[in-house]
Parts: sequence; structure tokens; C-alpha cells
Amino acid sequence: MLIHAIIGSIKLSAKLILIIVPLMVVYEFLENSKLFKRILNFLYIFMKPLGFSKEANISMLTGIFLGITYGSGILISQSEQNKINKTDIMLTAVFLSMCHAVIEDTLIFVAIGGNGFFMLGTRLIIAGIVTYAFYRYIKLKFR
Amino acid sequence: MNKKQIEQLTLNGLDKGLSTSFKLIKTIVPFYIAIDLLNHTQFANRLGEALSPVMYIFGLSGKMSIAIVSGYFVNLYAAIAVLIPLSPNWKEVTIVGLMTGISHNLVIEGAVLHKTGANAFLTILLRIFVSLIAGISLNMLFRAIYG
Repeated sequence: MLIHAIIGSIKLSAKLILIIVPLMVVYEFLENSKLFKRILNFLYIFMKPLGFSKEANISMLTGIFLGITYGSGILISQSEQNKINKTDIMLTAVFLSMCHAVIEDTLIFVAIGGNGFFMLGTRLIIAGIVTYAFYRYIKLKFR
Repeated sequence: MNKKQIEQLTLNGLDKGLSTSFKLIKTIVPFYIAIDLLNHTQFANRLGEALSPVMYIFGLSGKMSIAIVSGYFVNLYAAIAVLIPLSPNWKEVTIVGLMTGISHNLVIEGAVLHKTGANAFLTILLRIFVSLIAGISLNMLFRAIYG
């Protein structure tokens, strides 16, 4: 039984390396291409109605793609320099708490057979709805 | 893009891919073995049976609740390690991926978010709540599409 478990975990590890490594190489190319900048500009179209200003854009997108540590790193330094207002900080924290490092998170579940489209789509839509609700609430409260 | 850039990007990608894989494997191997062994015990079966009515609303089996909880408190790798020995289908993987994707590693990430000035306790509650809603919604969507 123990041998069965060990063999199973080794098989899974091998499978994950074989799937994740090529995916990450492809993503690295995408991340450094002109297309990626266009994707970022495109995404701002959706972020604007949620209440985000252009200044919050950098930490939001860093957080969404690279992870919460990088995203909030930029966010902290921006807030220390007063480059970003309180609403933006709050909205960014709310959105990023639900939606960060989405590519890596999704890829590892795709590697074991999940559907990336449903995972990423549902996550972004729900995080968007919650952030928007929060934005309306803040606007109402601090008008 | 010249040859040198392509070389550099490939190396970066390999580096990131391998380090992600190793992080994954370090957590997965012990969790996987523990769960695969636990899976054959009476305790796991009873826990699974007890929780199966609750997990039904997420479209998951009772034992998969362990994967969700591992994801919440440890990380996504732990959730995967727990999930795989239970041989999930693609819908179950997707639902667990969504739920733990929204809400994972709560203690550590709560601390990180706290530094930005956000209330750590509230963000944790929000994430758990949203993750449960998301799981139920995606399950309903799957039932509507695939029956």
C-alpha cells in the first residue's frame, strides 16, 4: 500500500514537470512580447468601470499575473509615496486577495486535468463583481 | 527578437517551470502519500460520508472537503496532493481549482495584505465566503450545461 502511494506520487510529480515546464517557457515568451502590453491596455478597459484609476493599474496587473507579494510590494511603495489614493488601495487589496498569480494557479490545475477557461473566467468575473460592489459601497459611504 | 533574447527567455522559462514544479513536488509527495494511505481507513470513509451532503452543493465528493481545507490553510499544492488520490473528474478538478484559487494560504497571504493597510481578518472572511459562492455557482453552471 505504501509502495502504491509512493509510485503514485512519483508518477504525478513526473507528469507535472512535463506539463508545467513547457507551459512556463511559452508564458515567459508571451510575457515579454508586444502582444502582452496590448493585453494589459485592453484589460484596463474592464478595470476602469470597477473604480480603479490608472495609477492602480500597475500594481493590479502585476498582482494578477505575478502574484500578491510582487503586486502588494508595488502597492506599498506607491502608497508610501502618496501616488495612489485610499479607494484605489482598498479596491486593489479586495480584488487581488481573490485574484492573484492567476496564470500559475490555473496552469497547475490544468496540468492535473482541470478546465482553465472555467477556472479563470469564473474567478475573474466573481472578483470583478465583488470589487464593484465594494466600490459602490465606498462611494455611498464617503460621498 | 534576436537569438540571444530567445535563449534568455527559454532559460528563464525553464527556470521558473522547474522551480514551480519542485515547489509543487516538495509539498505533494508527503501529502499524497499520507492521503493515499488515509484514504483506505475507516476514518476517511466516515468523514467522507458525513460531509457528502454538504459537499454535494459544490458538486464534490465528501472526501474532497479535505482538499479544500488543505488549500485554505496550506496552499494549492497541498490541495492538489490531497485531490489526486481521490481520482477526481475534470469538473471536480476545475471546481476545487476555482475554490482554492480564490481562497488559499490564508494565514500568510492575510499577513501580506495586512501590510498594504487592508484589514487581514476581513479579507480572509471575504475570500472564504467568495470561494464558497464561486464553488456553488460553477457547480450550478456545470449542471446546467452538462446535466
